[in-house]
Amino acid sequence: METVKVESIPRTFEALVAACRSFVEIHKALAKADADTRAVVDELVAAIDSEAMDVTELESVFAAIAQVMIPYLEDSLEPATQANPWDTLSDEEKRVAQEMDMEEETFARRLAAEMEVKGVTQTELALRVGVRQSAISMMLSRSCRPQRRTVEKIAQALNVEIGSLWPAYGVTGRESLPEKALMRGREPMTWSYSELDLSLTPGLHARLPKSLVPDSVFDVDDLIPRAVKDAA
Amino acid sequence: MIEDNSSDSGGVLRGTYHVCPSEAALHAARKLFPRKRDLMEIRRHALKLSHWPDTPPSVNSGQALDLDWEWVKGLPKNVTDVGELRIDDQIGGFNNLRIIFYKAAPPFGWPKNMMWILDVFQKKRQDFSVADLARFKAVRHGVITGYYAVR
Repeated sequence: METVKVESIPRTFEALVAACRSFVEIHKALAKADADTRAVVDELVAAIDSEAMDVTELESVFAAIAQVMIPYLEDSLEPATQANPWDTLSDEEKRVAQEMDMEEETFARRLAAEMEVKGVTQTELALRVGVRQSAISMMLSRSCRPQRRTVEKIAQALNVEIGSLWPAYGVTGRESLPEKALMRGREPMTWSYSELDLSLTPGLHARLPKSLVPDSVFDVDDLIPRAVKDAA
Repeated sequence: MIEDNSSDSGGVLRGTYHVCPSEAALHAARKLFPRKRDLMEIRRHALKLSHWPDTPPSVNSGQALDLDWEWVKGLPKNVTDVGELRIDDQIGGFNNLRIIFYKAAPPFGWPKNMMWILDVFQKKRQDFSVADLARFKAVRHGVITGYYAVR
């Protein structure tokens, strides 16, 4: 449904007619709603009038009103295709998730190695970092993507460079490799990890163009999927 | 029947809560993070709620893995199950990000207790505004009437 902003009342008669068409539908739905629901909507509308809001905040209020109205507008909405939109990822989201998985796997492997070298247990590290032992355990098993701040604390606790724990750790955050390359003034990379899965075989990873691998922050070895290594 | 997202795609451990975004939260997150990577990053942080450390009601704040959380104050007295998860990272150019969640029982036929995501936004003030609180209350109400109420 198109958003009609309260601060921009339709300027043309045609636009006003379109807004009224939506208004009638919402008005009828609101009439079917119980008293609590109507009170909640009234509260939101009053909040719009009483506070100075930016566009994002205003949009969130409209989204909240829409959420409240869903049960009363179900007939006019497209049927939901799934109960939880986070259960199924699009192809692009899967690709991004794969990249993140690889980052987390590299981090977990490097963290485990550093802990072993330094003789630090999960409990000791958790104490130094200020998280529970379960958080460290889940990072090691790739079930918890650490925050940037957590990675910094862990690096400090283990007395190692942050870049030696997190692949492609940048100044402004955890950029993806193409962005990292752009930041360094190189040509943006056009391949994805999934393409690497196909092209990399043991012994052939040296074929990767050097310019695509940021020196010192990323080991070529990290790019080789675990399955390939296992097969080797 | 819904699938279990609590382990995410790369994880191996499963949490005890099912994390589900409300339509309003999903809308807000998509508006805030047009880049898929940022959206996926915030999703992964939100999914940490599946490993919610059950605490007694007297505890007002704590940690969900490496994220700090706190119950939201200022809501009506009967609403004691809405909390804020603090993201310390800068994502999509935004800092001071908050994930507002509602801890609830499972709807009929769903397998696990729920963590409903009510909102994702950048907190710009020290305290929540009247509009913020009205929004959290409204989306929680929408989730209850939409997923729990028998009509």
